[in-house]
Amino acid sequence: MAAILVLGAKVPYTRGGQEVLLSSLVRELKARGHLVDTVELPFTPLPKERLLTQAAMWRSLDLTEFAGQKVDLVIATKFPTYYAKHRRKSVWLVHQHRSLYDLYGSRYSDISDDPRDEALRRMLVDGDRQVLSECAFRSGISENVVRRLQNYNQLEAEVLYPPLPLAGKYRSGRFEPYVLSVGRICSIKRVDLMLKAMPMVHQFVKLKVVGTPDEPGIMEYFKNEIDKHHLWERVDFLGRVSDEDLIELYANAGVVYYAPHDEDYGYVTLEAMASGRPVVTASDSGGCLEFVVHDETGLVVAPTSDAMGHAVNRLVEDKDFAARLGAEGAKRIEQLEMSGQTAQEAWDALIARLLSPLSLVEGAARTDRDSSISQPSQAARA
Amino acid sequence: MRAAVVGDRGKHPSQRSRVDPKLTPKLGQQFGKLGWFSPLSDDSAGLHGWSPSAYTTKILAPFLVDHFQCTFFHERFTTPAWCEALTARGLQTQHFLTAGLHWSDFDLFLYQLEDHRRTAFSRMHLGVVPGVVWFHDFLLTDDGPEPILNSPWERTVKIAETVAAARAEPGSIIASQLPWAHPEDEFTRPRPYAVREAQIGGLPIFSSERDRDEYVRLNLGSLLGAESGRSVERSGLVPIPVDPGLFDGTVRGKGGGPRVVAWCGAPGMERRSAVIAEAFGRIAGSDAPTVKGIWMLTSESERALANDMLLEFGAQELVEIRVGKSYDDWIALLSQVDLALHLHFSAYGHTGPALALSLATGTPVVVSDFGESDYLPDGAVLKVQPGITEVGELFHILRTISDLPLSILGARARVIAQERHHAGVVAAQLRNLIAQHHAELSDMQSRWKEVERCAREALGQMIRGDGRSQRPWYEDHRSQWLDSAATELGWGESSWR
Repeated sequence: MAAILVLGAKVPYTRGGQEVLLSSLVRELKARGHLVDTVELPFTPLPKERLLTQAAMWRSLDLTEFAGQKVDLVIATKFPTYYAKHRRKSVWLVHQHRSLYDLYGSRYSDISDDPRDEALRRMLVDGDRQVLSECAFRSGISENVVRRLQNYNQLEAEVLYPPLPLAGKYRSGRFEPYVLSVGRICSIKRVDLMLKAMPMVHQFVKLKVVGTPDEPGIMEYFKNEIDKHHLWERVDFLGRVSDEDLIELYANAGVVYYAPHDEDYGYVTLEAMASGRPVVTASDSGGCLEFVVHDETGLVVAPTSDAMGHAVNRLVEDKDFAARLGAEGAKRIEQLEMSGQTAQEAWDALIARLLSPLSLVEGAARTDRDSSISQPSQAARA
Repeated sequence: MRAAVVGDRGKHPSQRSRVDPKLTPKLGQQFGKLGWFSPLSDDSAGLHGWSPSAYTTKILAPFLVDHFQCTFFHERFTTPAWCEALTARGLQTQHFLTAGLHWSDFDLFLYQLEDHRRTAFSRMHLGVVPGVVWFHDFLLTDDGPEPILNSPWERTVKIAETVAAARAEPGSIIASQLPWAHPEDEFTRPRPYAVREAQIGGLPIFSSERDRDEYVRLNLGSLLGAESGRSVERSGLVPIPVDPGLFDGTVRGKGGGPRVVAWCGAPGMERRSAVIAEAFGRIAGSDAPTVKGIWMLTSESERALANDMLLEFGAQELVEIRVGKSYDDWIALLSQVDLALHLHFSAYGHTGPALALSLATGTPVVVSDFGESDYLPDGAVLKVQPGITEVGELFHILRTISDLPLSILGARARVIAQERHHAGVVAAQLRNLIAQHHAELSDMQSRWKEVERCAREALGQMIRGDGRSQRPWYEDHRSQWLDSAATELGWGESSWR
């Protein structure tokens, strides 16, 4: 048993994949008999210069020991949690602060060409490289995340896909005429692409949106679009729903839409596939493309409303085709759970990797002990 | 009706400063370490085949490495095979985001800009570290690419000017007194769109004479002239380069049989697609047409629109549509054609490398008597006047194509290309231009270090709270340990002072 701290950066009032990942990891670690707790600090990306202070706050934490209990390992997840200092630090990277990296220069980044912004960017990129280099074990939640780490920070890492949070509970139901969108509602998730596609989607098809907004003004923008296109009866914002309701919504969806810009991983894709639903995603949706294969498990189309609309119509017009893609997706999910292993076995393997710095130390300690035992005999021989 | 102007009204390239193409382009020792920003074409990935910047970079690269120690900064993490072939000669490629981290290792940055979002990363980085800016088809464009969001470039220019004015006392400037943008400020898109790039760049150079004249006329200035009232004299003309190997082929226009006329580009008013389609429609309606057309599109997605246009004018039987992946496909097509059309009509239109390639292969060309093409000598090309007579003039050329002195026009076209577009000549021109302004560019580089120092200090002030907030951050009980963490990460106060 090891005493482990899982580190999270929490944006108050929001819930997304990061929160699901953190709670799943803590649950699975505890289930394996470890002493586990979570350390979370509130995170805000604005104002951007405060990114430095938030990183420095994580750096300042003393995570060595609490109430006489030494901390054996910390597991960092996303920016800026990996700035925490500990002699044994693992990182299971969800993402870095992407505005400094892959989103730089795009409309999703608030880093401009102001020389102060450039100074800020350089300090954080240098800082990231320094503190991520310290990790005894580095991993990322997808190929996409690991590739970014290699490309932008020249650091190697392993891919450890997070098993599905509700593994074994997803089921396939009827193909009802609605498109399901799940996830935080913000510009980078591009729910608006689907919303604006609705006028060209068959009138009998609805759009159901699960998730809460986490960007100022975004719901007003959506409301305007709904008014503009007279979609009042065709779009439902369901907010946060229970696990049971989510499973039900997945099970009966005609299509699951998930097309964020360069997604890190995308639980939604996998949950939809596990529910036997076809997924419509975009050609620039990053991690989603590690699972969705065009015309096999879903449709991968250009990131435009036109393309999304046509893709959805194609699936609702041909239910057999949609069912075939869904069934193939479900089969892939079975394969993904490590060649027929159960999700629990997948967690076993994943946790073993995250905790590998402990075995290294134990191994080193054993070697030390072995060598200290052998020394007297050598001395005796002398 | 004037079918074509064949005379000596235009300005001959020999009237301009030029370098004899027979001169070896190698001008002695390397000039310095050059960071070169450009998208890179990659045949295997089907990328940037029609990008003027990517084409320029590819053609110029073997000559550049003679003059400069080059690093190509681009927006991808893989290196095209043609770049790898030059690594033995010192060429390196890197993702552009690494450039800012090591910018002081470079003597100079050069940015190529075009009217397409593929060069947005160059435009962005230009605001981060200024350098030479090579405008291909971007300056004064009417419908430019997306703006660089929230760019406080005008403030940055003012800051650079203030620093330039205080150059005698480096380190004397107090960062908080500089005109930094307020975090809440919003910056609108400048008009014309390339004003930002022209002013924030160090030394603007142009591949089009028309653009350079417009730049001078509008007195846009640049950072390089900051301390002397933004002198527009510090600018240059460096045409699009072409592969010298193109000059070896046979001059076109000598063949018999049905004549082949080709043009390239997406359907659209700027490229006069409807005019060409209508002229071919008239040919199709005449007795025994002796000419056929080949329209090379730049993407399969353009085909439907192009087909519709040909159908509308009844030209579908005479015009074959092909889709090219790159300028190389255009070059390959030119070996089959007797006449190339490079019509263009927009307020600030550009014909791009395709025209230079036609000229270099000795293909007789028809251009619009307007804008950039107007600068070509009349005796070497056929010109049609945009407007109500345009279709008629083009129809007349197509109908009488067999009577035209095509081989003479082809030979003259090639002479122009050799004088203007020979890659060795262009590389030498570029090198000479940079050498001519070397001292000022170096000075600008060193002044920029002072701008960066001030930026870092200003950032520190913002974090400490005295720059923007009423809640001083370092004045509470956390200050000591946070300061210690920041120092450990290299962000301590000393680093922004």
